[in-house]
Amino acid sequence: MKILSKLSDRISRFVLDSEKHYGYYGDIKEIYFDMAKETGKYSALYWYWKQVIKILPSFIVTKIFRSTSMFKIYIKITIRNIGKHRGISIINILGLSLGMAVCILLTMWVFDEFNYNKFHENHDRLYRVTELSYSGNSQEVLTGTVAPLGPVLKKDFPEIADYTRYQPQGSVLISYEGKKFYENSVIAANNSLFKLFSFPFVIGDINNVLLSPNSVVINENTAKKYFGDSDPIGKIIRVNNKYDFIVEGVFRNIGSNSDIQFNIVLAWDYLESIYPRIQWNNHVYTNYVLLAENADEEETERKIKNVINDHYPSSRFDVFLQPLSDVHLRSNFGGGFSNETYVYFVLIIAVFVLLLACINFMNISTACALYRYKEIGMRKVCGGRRKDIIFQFLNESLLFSFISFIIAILIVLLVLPVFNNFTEKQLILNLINDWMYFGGLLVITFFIGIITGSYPALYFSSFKPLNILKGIQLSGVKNKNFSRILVMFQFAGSIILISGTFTVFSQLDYMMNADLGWDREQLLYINMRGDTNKTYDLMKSELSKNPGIISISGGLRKPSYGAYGTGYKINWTGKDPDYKPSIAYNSVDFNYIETVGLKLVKGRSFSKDFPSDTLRAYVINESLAELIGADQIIGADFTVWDVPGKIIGVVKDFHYYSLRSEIGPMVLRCQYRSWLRYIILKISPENISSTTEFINDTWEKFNPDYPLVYGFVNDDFSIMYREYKKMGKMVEYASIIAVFIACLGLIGLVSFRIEKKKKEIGIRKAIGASTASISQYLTREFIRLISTACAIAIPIAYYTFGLWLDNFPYRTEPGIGLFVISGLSAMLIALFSVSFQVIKAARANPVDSLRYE
Amino acid sequence: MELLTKLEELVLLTVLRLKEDAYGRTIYEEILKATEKKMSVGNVYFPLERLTQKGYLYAFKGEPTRKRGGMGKRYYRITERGIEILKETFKVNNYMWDNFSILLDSIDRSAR
Repeated sequence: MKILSKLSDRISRFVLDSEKHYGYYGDIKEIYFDMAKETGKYSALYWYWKQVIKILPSFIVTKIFRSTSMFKIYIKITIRNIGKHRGISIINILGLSLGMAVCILLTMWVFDEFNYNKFHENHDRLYRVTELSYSGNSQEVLTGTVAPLGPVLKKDFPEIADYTRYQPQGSVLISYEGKKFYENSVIAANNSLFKLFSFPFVIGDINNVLLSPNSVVINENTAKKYFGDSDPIGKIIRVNNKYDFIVEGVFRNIGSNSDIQFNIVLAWDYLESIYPRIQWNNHVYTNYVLLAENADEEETERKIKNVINDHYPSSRFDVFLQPLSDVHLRSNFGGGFSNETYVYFVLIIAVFVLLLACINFMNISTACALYRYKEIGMRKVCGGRRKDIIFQFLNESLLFSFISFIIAILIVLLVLPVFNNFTEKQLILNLINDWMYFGGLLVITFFIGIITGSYPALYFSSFKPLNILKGIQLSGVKNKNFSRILVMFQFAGSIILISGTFTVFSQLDYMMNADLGWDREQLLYINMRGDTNKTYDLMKSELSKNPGIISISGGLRKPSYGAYGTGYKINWTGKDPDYKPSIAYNSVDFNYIETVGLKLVKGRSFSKDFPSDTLRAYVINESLAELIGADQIIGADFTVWDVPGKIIGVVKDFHYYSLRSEIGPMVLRCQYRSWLRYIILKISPENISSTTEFINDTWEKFNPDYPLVYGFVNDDFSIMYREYKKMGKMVEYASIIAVFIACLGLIGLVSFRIEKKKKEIGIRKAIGASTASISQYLTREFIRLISTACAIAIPIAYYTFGLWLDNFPYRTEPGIGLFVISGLSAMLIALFSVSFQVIKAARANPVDSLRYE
Repeated sequence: MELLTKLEELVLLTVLRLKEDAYGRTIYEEILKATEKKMSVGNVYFPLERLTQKGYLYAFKGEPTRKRGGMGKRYYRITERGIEILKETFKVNNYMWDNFSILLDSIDRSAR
């Protein structure tokens, strides 16, 4: 009872101010006593507690009212303080805003990555069908599957509610009334594509499209491109100069957060007319299935595992399902880091940058607050409670935090278009749609304010006011070490990022400039679409008349993407019959090896002098020769695609894909005409434009229906490594920002220390030290600091980026020198940024600092 | 001149009526009696404080007693301003409530 009484006392005291409490509490106690006598203890007690509780709502009103009047005062003081130390306050706020802005941008990117493919209504029941192939003792995951898989799965397994299948058609020539373009985003799909996936239509009946073999649907951009503003429905477009299709619908452009991208969809049945798709051994189609509502994923997988093996017993392909939600981030079946890892990495960087900015902010605020210790002393003497001082600091840092937040948002809005361009996304910061994200950011800003304010708050409020007024300097040993460790930590982080940038760019440089084993200078390729390869011989003889063209050859693939998957039905003398190796192959013209510049190490190249070369000759690379392991490799038997022949030559290993892939065994065969898809030309470096003009004219003469598409192999390479360029740029920007923030931190620390040492410097100068020696003395401490940072950061960076480089079969060796350079550059930048303050302090007139002794 | 809320008006009148005896509890009980509404002490207390703030009442402390758990009573007295505003309120009320019973009669008759 006594306890309860005390509790009610506390509550009343808490809610009301002292006078009100005095009267109120007494009154209800009095009434309680009388009531207890009259109506009994318990009903009186009940009334009593009701009274206590009923005053609680007013607490909200009075407390807020009281705090807001205090707020006004604190805000005024804060603004006055900012005015007094304008420079450093601005730098401080900017530093925090920058850190916040970077964090916001990066987290937006991260959220976008996690939200790929989530806009489909059925997304949690959609699965991509994938195959696990066994050959010999190796396994390979294929995302390209066989065509009959989809319908068979739907028919034979009740767990599969529906399926859709599609195949990208590569580059397709679309013509409509004189407009001819090669479209690269064309797929052929069956009509359930739009049932499984949520790609909304603008016009057309989404349920009744793609049912007939000449149906096509296009996206908004394509409609605009070919038909302008007129109605596309019912219009007829021609594909590859051969097939006519009727436009049956227009769908909305697909946003960037979808892995399934296409502009034009041809009806699946069109493929059937070219050749039938019931084959079980052509793994180039994409199948997606919709699982029935109560189906269990694992159970279903178990059941469907052997579908292919049952229908096509001579192969071994297991079927399994990849959830749609994994497709974007976890498709790293070939090993190496998944996209998911990269995304988490970016997230870590985002948090890291924010952390740096906050630590920095805390440091500088504390340093700044030192100037105001006198004010705090006064305040304490006048009766300021410790609570109030803490409150004031918190207020100040909260205010700073929110101002920084607003500036950060402005920065983000400003930079967003550039960022979007750079990352090829369409990120939008929208207050209404993303209110949850925004609210989260506000909460985080609030916490940042509180946490960064608490450190100086607690530190300063614990002073004895007497000491302060007497002018006794603060020793703050603990503070010194803490700040130093913080700055060191920041610099270590920056050094890691700088070395990261160097590593990525040096690897990029290596990949772009590495020796490929063939000559890619002035190498041009022409894509022979449709049946233009019929004109190959004529083109070749006509083109060779031009002196600017040094050599002409042809191939199935262009040199920068110079191999076609795995050859089948491979055999050689002494090969283990169960061993089914993956051997790359390319079908080429006679003088391919010379034109492209491959290096022959044994035997001879294909030649017109040996007409049987077109049927029975194979040139292989060193890796394949090693694999076969015959003593006399030239003249050895070799079979691919069940065509027996003899090996006539061995070329040095060369890169037929990007340097991202390892060189494997490869065979070249000299098949003629119908297998060639590219004309490959070596042209002279002089007068390139007139040469290309000549090529254009020649092409048009022989192939008027097909626009010329050609490219330079060198250009291909810049595009190939685009992803790494992007990554490099990202790390570069991150490191610039990190260095900036770290320098801010250092500046803060420096001002702090210099301020404390003012008298010491004054004395030194008075004794006769020069400006230079004082500068040296001051900076010595910081050099030591940064060196320690280097010592920590360099091994970490070396190890981490070594791991990253291990991803690449062909890589630079960065050597420790690269990392040391990062450390040194950080050091230089740091010294530069503190130089102003140090020199100013060193040149100060000792009279000023010693005046009041 | 400003208008008092109904509760404020009641409270002020009660203080006038109770003369020396006017403190939280007595005012509260008097108003309970008058309105027959089951309000809480707080309901009376806040108008009391508001009136004090506005200057219509002044308050002072009394002696602590055992009964009140060691708190004294907080007595309220009406001020000059308080009397002024009561006079004003009276004028307004008089005007509005003038001939009230006659008004009532006239309504009864016309409704029929």
